[in-house]
Amino acid sequence: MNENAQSPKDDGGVRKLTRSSTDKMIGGVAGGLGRYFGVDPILFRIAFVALAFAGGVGILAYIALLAFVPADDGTSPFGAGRNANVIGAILLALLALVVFGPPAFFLGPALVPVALVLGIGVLLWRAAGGSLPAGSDPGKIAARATIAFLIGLAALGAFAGVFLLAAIGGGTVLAILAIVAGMALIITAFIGGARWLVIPALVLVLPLAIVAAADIDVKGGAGERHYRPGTVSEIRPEYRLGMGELEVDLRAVTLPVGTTTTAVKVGVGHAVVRVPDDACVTSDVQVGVGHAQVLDRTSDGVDVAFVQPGSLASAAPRLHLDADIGIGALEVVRGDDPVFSRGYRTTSDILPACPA
Amino acid sequence: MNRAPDRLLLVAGLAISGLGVLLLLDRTGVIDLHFGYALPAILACVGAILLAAGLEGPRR
Repeated sequence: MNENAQSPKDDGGVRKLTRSSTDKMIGGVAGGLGRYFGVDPILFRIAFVALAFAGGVGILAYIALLAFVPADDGTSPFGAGRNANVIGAILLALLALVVFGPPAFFLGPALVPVALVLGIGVLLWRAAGGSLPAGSDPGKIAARATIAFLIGLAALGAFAGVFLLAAIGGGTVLAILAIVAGMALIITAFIGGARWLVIPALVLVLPLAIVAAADIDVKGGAGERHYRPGTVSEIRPEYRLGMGELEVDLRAVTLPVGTTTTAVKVGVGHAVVRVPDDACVTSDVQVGVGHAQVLDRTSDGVDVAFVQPGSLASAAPRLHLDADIGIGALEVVRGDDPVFSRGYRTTSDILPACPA
Repeated sequence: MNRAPDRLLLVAGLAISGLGVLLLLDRTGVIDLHFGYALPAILACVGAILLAAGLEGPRR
């Protein structure tokens, strides 16, 4: 990191944001931002790369900054003049939209955790001593790496612990603790205290936020569960699993006239519900993060929620399914249809919610 | 002599308290938090702390 580098100042003595001509990988945007904010430019580079796979936002932001932020040596990325910059930015933005539009967007959610891990790794490395000058003692390098690894392990353990505690129902207590931790930081700001206290406070609040947003509830145990009721009376009102794979196979059940209701709740994992060939399926589905396929209806991403009312004209016996998945996938298939994880189906293979 | 508060700790405290209040409201059933609301809130919280750290610089 270039701690000694100073951002150029204008005539009024105000710091100016400029692109760096010395610390650059493409156009010096991250180098300039790092110098302006006094942080390691690699954080901005990681953010740009991560956002590039989230619909191309990172590319667009980079291009905009490349076009409109001047370089500290006065050069222009697209030739002379501001008009050339604007035209170049528009052309590159159009290219980015074409390249990074759907379906490439699906890569985004998977790469965000990778970027997060990389970011945490960089922060830990810096916390353990930062960048090393040439000719450093290999023993010191190993010691710093070990410290960074141990800190990372402790943070990961704490993160997982809070996550589990929140998921098994301790969320209210943890939320109160987060508020208390925040108040303690405010008091510390006035009386003086260590800044590293921010890290444990974040480790407390971030996993809780994920659990709350995905509505994860891991009550119900972990592992693989398979249920194959033979009669209507054997169908449970609710099938629940904390973490793992849950399969509810209703193919052997002869549904009566009217509506039979059941519910499937999985905290983190995969749920498969096999429905009888003659059933008209109605559903109320909620998935925090993941994929949901209920016969001919599919949706994925975050906050997946839909209601499938079924055909009122159908005289077939009705099965109503309430499904709630925190993180993972739900699949409702008819008869012997293959599920997503065991062979992708084409649209023509999928039968509608209600038989004709 | 009055001592200026540490802006990084102040911003972090306010951000984490705010997030904690949101989470408490969700856990007690007052609001139903989804990723659509939670993710921007988390990113804003972390972003505010990073900005405060960048603008404040090392403590003297």
